[in-house]
Amino acid sequence: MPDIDEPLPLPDNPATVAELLPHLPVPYEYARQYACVFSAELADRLVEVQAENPEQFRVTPLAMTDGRYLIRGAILSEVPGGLYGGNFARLDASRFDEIALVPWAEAVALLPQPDPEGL
Amino acid sequence: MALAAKLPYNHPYAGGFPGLGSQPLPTDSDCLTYLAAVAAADGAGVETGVAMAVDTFFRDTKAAGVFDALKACCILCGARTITGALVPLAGDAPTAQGGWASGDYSRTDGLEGDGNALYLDSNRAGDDDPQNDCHLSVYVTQVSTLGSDQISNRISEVADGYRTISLNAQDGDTFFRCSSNNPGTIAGTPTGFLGASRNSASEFIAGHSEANETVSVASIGPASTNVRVFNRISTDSFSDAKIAFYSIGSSLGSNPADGLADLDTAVTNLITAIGEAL
Repeated sequence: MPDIDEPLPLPDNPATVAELLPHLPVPYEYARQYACVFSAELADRLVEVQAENPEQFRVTPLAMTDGRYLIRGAILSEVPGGLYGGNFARLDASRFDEIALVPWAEAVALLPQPDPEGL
Repeated sequence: MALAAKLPYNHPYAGGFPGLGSQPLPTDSDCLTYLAAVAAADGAGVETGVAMAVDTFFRDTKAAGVFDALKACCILCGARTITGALVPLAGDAPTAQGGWASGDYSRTDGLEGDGNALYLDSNRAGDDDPQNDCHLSVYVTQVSTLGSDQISNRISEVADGYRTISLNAQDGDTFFRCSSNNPGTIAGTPTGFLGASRNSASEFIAGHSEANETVSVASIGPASTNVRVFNRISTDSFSDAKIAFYSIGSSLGSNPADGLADLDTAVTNLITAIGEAL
């Protein structure tokens, strides 16, 4: 019988945030490997929730070239009780299976390219 | 670093204990107010060694006459948590935008941007400081790998009157309400203190690598956009640098060259002392 205090092993390739719910908060080094990717509708909802409950720490959904949005997976190291705990609790948990976990580099490649003028 | 310096500055025995000697504690009243706010955010006071580094910073900047120019300012290191690091030393607290996590924070090196989404909105409008009475500064502990703005309210056109300190892979620029495309040039990609201060309609001073450059360019009316750290306002230019300090405000005294040098020394000493205390 496993020790009751032993943490559940983290999944190697989680497909959605719903899969990580029993493990939250996950370690930062694990969480930062991923991007949370979701629809425009969920991005709008996230912006709404943050507007209703403005806090010092906010997430910013970034538009991808395929019409979806991403936020850093690193924030999964800060929920349910950390920096984003307040607004995380206001989200509809039944829709967490609509938030895909995509390897960070793969997701960032779908962000619009930065201004070539740069500086 | 003596073990006693690791005690929280507000611990009953922080100042000493019979038979174990004594150590100085922070006494500057503004510093104590700041440290108390950081302790409230962190859940515990910082170590006495860190607190003394901060106390020295308050004293040195006041003695040099640049403290009052810090209108929005954060020491982005030293505190026990990222929340404590965002307690403002002066002005409004910044809003942490983009999804910062505790893992992005180092007590010795400050906050590390990700080059994609993370930035701080200082909540200080660009035109809160008069046209010819303004400064910006950051302390970079690790240079960005990307061409990016380190502190900026840059919008699209030079004539919009923005302030920015930006770096790319080879060098950088300091635009400071320039009426023409004539920035200060930062040679190389230095870490440490980067700043600029203007108290004249005809020139501003840019400081980096422990040296100052006088940039002769007429000023223009200020942009009203908020100043950001790790990014700018127009097309995103996110930095993945590590930044341990920023300040925004009025000119660093009537002689901005001296003021920049004084702030450089005070911030450099602060970051060094915090590193030694931890």
